[in-house]
Order: sequence, then C-alpha cells, then structure tokens
Amino acid sequence: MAGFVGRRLLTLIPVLLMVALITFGILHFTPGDPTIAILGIDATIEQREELRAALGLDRGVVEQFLNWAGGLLRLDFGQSLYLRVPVGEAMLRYLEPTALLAVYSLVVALLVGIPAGVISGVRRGGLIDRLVMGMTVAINAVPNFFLGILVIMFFSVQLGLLPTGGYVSPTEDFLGHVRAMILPSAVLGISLTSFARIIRSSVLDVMSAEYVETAYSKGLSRPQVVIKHVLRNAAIPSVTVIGISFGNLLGGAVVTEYVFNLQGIGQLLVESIARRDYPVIQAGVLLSALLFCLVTLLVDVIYAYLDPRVRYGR
Amino acid sequence: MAVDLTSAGVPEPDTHDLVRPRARLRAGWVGSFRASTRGMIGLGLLALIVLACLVGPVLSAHDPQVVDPVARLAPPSGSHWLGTDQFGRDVLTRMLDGGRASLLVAAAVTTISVVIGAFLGLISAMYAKVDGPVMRFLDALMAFPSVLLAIALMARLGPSIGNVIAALSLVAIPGFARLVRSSALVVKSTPYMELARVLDLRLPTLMVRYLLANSMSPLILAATFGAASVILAEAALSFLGAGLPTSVPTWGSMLNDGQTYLRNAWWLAVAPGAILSLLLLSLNMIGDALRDAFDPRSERI
Repeated sequence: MAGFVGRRLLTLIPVLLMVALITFGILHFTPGDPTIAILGIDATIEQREELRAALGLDRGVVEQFLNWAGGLLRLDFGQSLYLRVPVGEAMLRYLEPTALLAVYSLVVALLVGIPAGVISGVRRGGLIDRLVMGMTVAINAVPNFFLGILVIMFFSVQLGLLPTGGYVSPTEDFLGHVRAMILPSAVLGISLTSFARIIRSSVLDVMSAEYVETAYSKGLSRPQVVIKHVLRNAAIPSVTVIGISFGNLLGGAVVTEYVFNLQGIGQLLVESIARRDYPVIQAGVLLSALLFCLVTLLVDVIYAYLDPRVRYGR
Repeated sequence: MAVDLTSAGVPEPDTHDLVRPRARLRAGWVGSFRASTRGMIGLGLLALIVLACLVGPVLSAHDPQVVDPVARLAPPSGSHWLGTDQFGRDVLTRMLDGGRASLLVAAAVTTISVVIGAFLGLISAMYAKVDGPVMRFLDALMAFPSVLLAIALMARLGPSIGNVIAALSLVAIPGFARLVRSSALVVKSTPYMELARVLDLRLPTLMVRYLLANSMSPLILAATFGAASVILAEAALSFLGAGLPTSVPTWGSMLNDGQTYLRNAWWLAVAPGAILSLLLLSLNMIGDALRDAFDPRSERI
C-alpha cells in the first residue's frame, strides 16, 4: 500500500509542474501586453513600466517562471495589485465561507446522492427509482445559479423564511450562520448529486453478478446481501465519480458564493476579474487545480484500498 | 515475401468495404434513435428553441436594445409577452436574441474543440513520441476546474465573443482528445487496421478514414453532452460578468439583472433561466437517447 501511494505521488510531480506552467502561461503566453490587460488602454507608459517591474515582467521569461515557481514552494503567491497585501493573506481572509460551504454541500451531496443511488439501484423500476431518475434529469438541466435564484425567490422573497444572501460567521452568531448557509449548501450539494445515477448503474451491475445470486441461495436476507456484498463492490466505481464531482464542487462554489453573496474565495476571484487583480486569480486557479490533483490522489488511494487488484497491478 | 497484389492480377479490393460494416451499424443507431421517444422529444425541443432564437428577434415588434422608460419592469402582458426589464426593454426579444449568442458560442466551441481534440487524439494514438507530452499537457489542463480556468483566461483576454469561444474551447479540447485517443488505440490494434496497413494505404488516409470513422459514435455522444456544458459554462461566465461584453444580451447577464430585481420583477430571472434549462434538457435527452442507440446493452439500466 505504501509503495502504491509513493508511486502515485511521483506521477503527481510532472502534472503539478505542467499545472504551474499553464497558470504562468495564461498571463505570459497569451496575445496582447499583460500590462495593458491589467491597467487598461489609457495607462501611461510610466504606470505600465512600474507594473512591469512589480510583476517582474522586465526579466527573461525563464527567470520569471523560476522566480514565481520558487515563490510557490515557499507559499508566496505574490502581491495583490488591488488589496495591496500578499495574495496568501487575502486568500486566508476569505477562506472561511468557502471552506464551510464546501464541507456542508459535500455532506448534503453524499447524504442525498449515495442513498438515492443505492435505493434506486436495489429497487429498480420502483417509485423511488423513477423519482430519483427524474431528479437527476432535472439537476443536469437546471444550472445551479438558476436553482439558487429560484430558491431565493421562494424561500426568502415569497415566504421570508431565510436571508436572501450574505455570510454570517458561526463564531459571531451560530443560528444566523445556519440560516445563512442552508440555501447555498442545499443548492450546491443537490447540484452535485448527479453521481447518484452512476452509483445506481454500478449497483445494478453488481446485483446481477453471480456471487450475489450465490449469497441469496445460501439463505442470506436481502439487507444482508445488499450491505455485505453489493455495497462494497458497487463502491469501487462510485468513488471515482464522487471524486470527479469534487472538481464541480470547486467551480460550483464560485458561482454559488456569487448568487448568495458569500464573501469567500470565489467571490474574491470574481471581484478580481473586474479589478484586473491578476496575481489573485492566478493563485486561485492554481490552488484549485492543486486541490483537485490531491483529491484525485486520495480517490486512487481509496480505490486501491477497496480493490486489491489495483494495488498490485501496473 | 511481399507480394504485389495489383501486379499479380488480383483486383484491387474496394477499400470502401472496410468501412461498410460501420455504415450498417450507423443505420442501426439512427433507427433506434428515431424509435426513442426521449430522443425525438429532445430533438423537437432543440429545433423549436433554435428556430425561435433565429426567427424570433426578426419577427418581434420590439428591438432587444431599445429603452422605454415608461414601461420599466412591466409585468407580462399582450404587448410584452414576458414583460420588460429595468430599462423597459422587451424580455422575450432579449431572451431570444441572447439565445443566438449562446447557440453561436456552443456551435463554434463544439466544432473547434472536436476538430482540435480529434486531431490531438489521433496523432497521440499514432505516434508514441507525441503521446507522452501531449497527454501530460492535457491531463494538467483537466486538473483545472473548467469554470475557474475559463475565468482566468477571460480575465486575461478581456470580454469578447471570440475570447469566450477561445477560452471555452481550450477547456473542452482535452476531453475530446482523450476520447478519440482511447478509441483510436482500440481500433489501431484490430485486424482490419493490420490489413489496411498491409494494403499500404497512406498514413493520413488511414488515420482519418478508419480511426476517425470508428471513433465516430462516442465522439457524437461526447459532442452532444459537450455542447450542453459549453452552454452552461457560457451562461455561468456571463452571469459572473466574465463572459460576453455587457452590451450584448445573454442569458447569463439577464439572470444577473433578474436577481437584482427579484422582489419586483420575477419574470426577469425566470425567462432566461427557463429557456436555458429547457435547452440543456433537450441536449441531455438527445444525449441519453444516443447513448442507448449506440450501446443497446445500456438501455434502461
């Protein structure tokens, strides 16, 4: 197992290098002068030269990349051009809403998606199955920002039950925090549950396997068969899909924060577009890709734990 | 010992025969797609939306850009079927006009990313030397959450329709490339590719005619779902203010306006949101029906 994790970690290095190179390339290898892109077309030559020096654009490309990548290793993401503080510091300031939103919606997604997928697979063609399948079709069709607007319209504007947006920290006002986070977590969580469909089809695959028939014929009850034999085997392909939906979680969090006006990292990134605060955007994109790589690694490790064949295979 | 078949008097085999079994199969999937209620409803819905967006703004009595201060935030009525926005502009006309932008971006991005993706996938499958670097690069691109990568590109490139198309194409290419590469690798090892090689067909011909012809069905399927995610991504970018210029009506920017006036004008957000959802629904229905048609075993699981 340790060997597997080690080998998998090694394969991460070239991908991370490439990820850093792409992030760097978005600013440096795209057409047009980056200082004009940031300052606008009316900027004076002096302003542009100043920015060029601040961003290190006056040095050679290789040197720039090495400086920047070296900074990354020391967790130095540069200075925010607008906030005038180190990017890492700005990120930390906006981290709480994003981290909590991610955790809550992941919990919602797993609590809804896994049982929905398993039940509709075990009781195929039943009422719950048809309901769940209909829901996944709707989830794939309705974008989460439109769903967000609809629930605000219903629960906040019509019924006046919950706030229309804004973040409340749990340390200041716990009840207010819960009220503020119910809608965004539910919307983002529900929008991730389309993996229920994949869980359902892997449950169906396992249900028709011979060893499940054997389990039935040796006299096990249905719950016993489902829990002991079906779930464990169906979990293997499901883990991958749940891991992939983590990428959707990161992208979805940006949009959800925007809809519900939560002052998180996503909101910071969107505001940074208008401010042309490039170092912040660069860091945000880089960190999300890094996080995604780590989650993929975690998925592979869980996969190997669940399925010994992966561990010893090549 | 190599035998020259042509000079030995053996008639040159009709190379078209090699593709024919596939053609028969294709007729099969068209038939089973037609038999699918879900697929036909999806196709009908898509056709309706496309037609409405193309013809609607021309037939409409209103101009999507003309401001009417007297009719600000007017609810749906006989003269404004879906009401008006905060500047008194007709929501229905703007919605259909916004659809044009959405459909144009979707068509352009899907075409560009399928063509470039297929090209990268094919050369990776054919030439081992390119395979490693190209695939590592695409793996890294796929590590970025697509909305975030598009945001970063748009922040750098600035708002314009060409830049939206470029940014979303870059996001979409890796998926198509990997898909074509993997089906091309399967096809490459089949006996009839060996035969084609023995017949000494030129390499580019080989690649395009046989590999691509056989990657066709997964590619059509992926393009259908791909078009849906492009439409979703474009709407998200415009919603966040990182998409098309704000002077152009788009569903995303209309939704953004709609959220501002949620309390007094619900139609402002519901109209663009509903047509966006219906368009995504139609593409998903077509995709599901195609999946069943290409792989009859997966039907009704």
